[in-house]
Amino acid sequence: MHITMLGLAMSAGPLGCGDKGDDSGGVDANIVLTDAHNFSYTGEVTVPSIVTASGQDLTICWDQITQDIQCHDIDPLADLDNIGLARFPHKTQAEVETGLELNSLLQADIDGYVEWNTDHESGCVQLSAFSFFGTPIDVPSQYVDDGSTYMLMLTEGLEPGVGARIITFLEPQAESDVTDVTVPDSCGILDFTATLEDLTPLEVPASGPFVVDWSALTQDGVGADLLLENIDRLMVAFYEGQTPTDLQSQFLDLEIITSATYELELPGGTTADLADATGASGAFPGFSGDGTWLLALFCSRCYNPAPVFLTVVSPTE
Amino acid sequence: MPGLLLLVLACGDKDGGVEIGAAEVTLSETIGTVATVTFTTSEDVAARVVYETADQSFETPLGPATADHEIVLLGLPANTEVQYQVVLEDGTTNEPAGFTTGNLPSGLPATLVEGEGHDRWMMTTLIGATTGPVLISPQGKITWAWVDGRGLDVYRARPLRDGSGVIYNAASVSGDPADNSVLVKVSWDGSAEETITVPLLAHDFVELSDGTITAIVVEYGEGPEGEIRGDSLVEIAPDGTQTQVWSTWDCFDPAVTPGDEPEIGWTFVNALDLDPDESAYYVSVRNFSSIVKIDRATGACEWVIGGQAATIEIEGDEFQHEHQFELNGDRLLVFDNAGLAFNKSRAIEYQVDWGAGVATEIWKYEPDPSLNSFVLGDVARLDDGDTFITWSVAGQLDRVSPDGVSSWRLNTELGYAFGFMTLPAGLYE
Repeated sequence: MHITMLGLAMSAGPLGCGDKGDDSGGVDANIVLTDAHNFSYTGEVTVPSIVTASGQDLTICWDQITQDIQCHDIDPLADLDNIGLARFPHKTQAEVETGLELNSLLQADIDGYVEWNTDHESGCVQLSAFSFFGTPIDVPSQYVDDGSTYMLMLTEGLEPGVGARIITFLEPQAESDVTDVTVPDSCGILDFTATLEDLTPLEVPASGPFVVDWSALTQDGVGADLLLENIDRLMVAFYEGQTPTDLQSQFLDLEIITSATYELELPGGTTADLADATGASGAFPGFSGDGTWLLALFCSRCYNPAPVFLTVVSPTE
Repeated sequence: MPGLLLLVLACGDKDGGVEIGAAEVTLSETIGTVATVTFTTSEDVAARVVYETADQSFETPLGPATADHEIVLLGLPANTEVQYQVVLEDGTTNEPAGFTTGNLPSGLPATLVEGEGHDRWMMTTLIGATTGPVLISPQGKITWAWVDGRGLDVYRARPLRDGSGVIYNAASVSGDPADNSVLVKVSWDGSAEETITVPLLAHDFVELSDGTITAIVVEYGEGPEGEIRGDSLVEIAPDGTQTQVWSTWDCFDPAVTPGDEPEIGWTFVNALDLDPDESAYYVSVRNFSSIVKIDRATGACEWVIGGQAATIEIEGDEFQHEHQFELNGDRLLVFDNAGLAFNKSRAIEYQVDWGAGVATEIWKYEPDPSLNSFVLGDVARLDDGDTFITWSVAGQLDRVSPDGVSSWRLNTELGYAFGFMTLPAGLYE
């Protein structure tokens, strides 16, 4: 006897003498997230641009920075680990801004990247000190007025492009003689108008179980395609005495104004049990209290710090 | 008679035939797309597993003749329902069964694919936001991944020839090479990891048929004005013995052939290939913009194509600061990082007239808009004449027809680059 089309086997009924197999990869979810549950926002990214001399070494200083993209206070010397400069040869500044808004920039959009790891002591560095893979930037030929867009990113952490807290464009122009660059605050770059009032609240059993499945999500809050692979963190947060309307006006501070926060690092996949989420007071205890509960999914490697999914939880008995 | 009935009969008492015991599936704890099927048979017999998802079918190679079977299933996407069936060498089967794959490690990029018709599995490495080897399906999905947390870069990964897993290098070519660089062998299910310490590893290595690994290793030696950074080839035998089999000083004199970027080294050998009969190595010497054939037995350089020290001259466009390449008979395909113009990379091919000592440009692919992979980059000629191009730093893969049309393309999101590329003949080859 010889194997035939396994496709026949896939449509077979009850299994016979063969083994059923281990179904351990599946998780029975009782809370299914859909696009209707997701918040919406209009987000506009407006990155400041600093005109500089072309092909000349620059002195780049960041020691005057006080606030990051989310308008949170920042200690520029202590908090920033890396300064990266990416060149987009075929995109305008406006196109890069759109890419940041929609999280749609590709690695192929850049044709050059150099960086400098901060020493947490000095607040200025020469552009000529930047390098990548051991190859230093050749400023006269690689930082020039050729129509490319240059984006400077100051990040927390050393992974290229991850953890951006400060962003500014540098704009080499042949007629400029500016060689001193003072990186400005990034507060105001993101113009968010978030709406939590129009979404369909997520009904969940107040005392569990809380197994969440987000595989059906297709769009993020701004309506862009949502890449499930990017989701790597879940947050459940309680805001005592606050309404959704109160919260949407404090959108950029949602992670720091909570009464209680429970988080879960996600190893991949599209399901999670909220019972595994932990916070300062321990494991997530269930939904209770007078206020608003939010459930959010994040992409920590995305440039846009907004959650890719955020909803208002409506606990039911 | 439909196959289903045959299957049912097959798993019952088969009039003295081999019986298949209950099968179990175990998912890897670290790479949830890898499933191991274990079962027994009433006699020593070779077996394989056929398996499928809703839109893909797979088949493992026949395993060794034994009564205790352990077969690893590869190529599956994450969180996907799978049906599988044991098939013995005589065609006897058990009843099909199912399982669901688990998660891949976190931190992998989304892959965006355009076009269709690509038919090759792709083993490469991720560099950037996540570092480590990955296996990508012909449809462009990452199906296997191993995250290396050493803080080094991973430039090359290859399936081990014995089929047990993957070997990759963890090294650094950024500035000074790393003293703690290693070659890493990891089993497909991630349960076993073996490291081989090889200080000063550079970009590339190959595995020979007997399990010997040959790697590029940075070597410091005398130059006209003091110590300079050259390169060597080191063979690591299966018993762990490490032997230097070639040095750049064997063939070149830094006073005569100084290279063109002394600030990063004298030679900067950055890519290594193995002759099919294993009698020779080929290396790319970046700072010469040259490709060199080395006799494995003697260490002699048989020819040099390209820029400095060339014995075979280029007719047509020259390549500059190249990385990987492929020699097919008298055709040389090169990933040309910088020969086109500044900040533009391309693939270029030459017809070599060994007698005349001339390599004549016959084909090139220069993407529009341009791409720049200022380091790494790889090329391969496929059986149908298409060319597979890995634009490493640009995070883009292209399958390009002879007339220069990309029929299949994969991009990573910003933050993820690729290393070199290995295109196995099949999922298990």
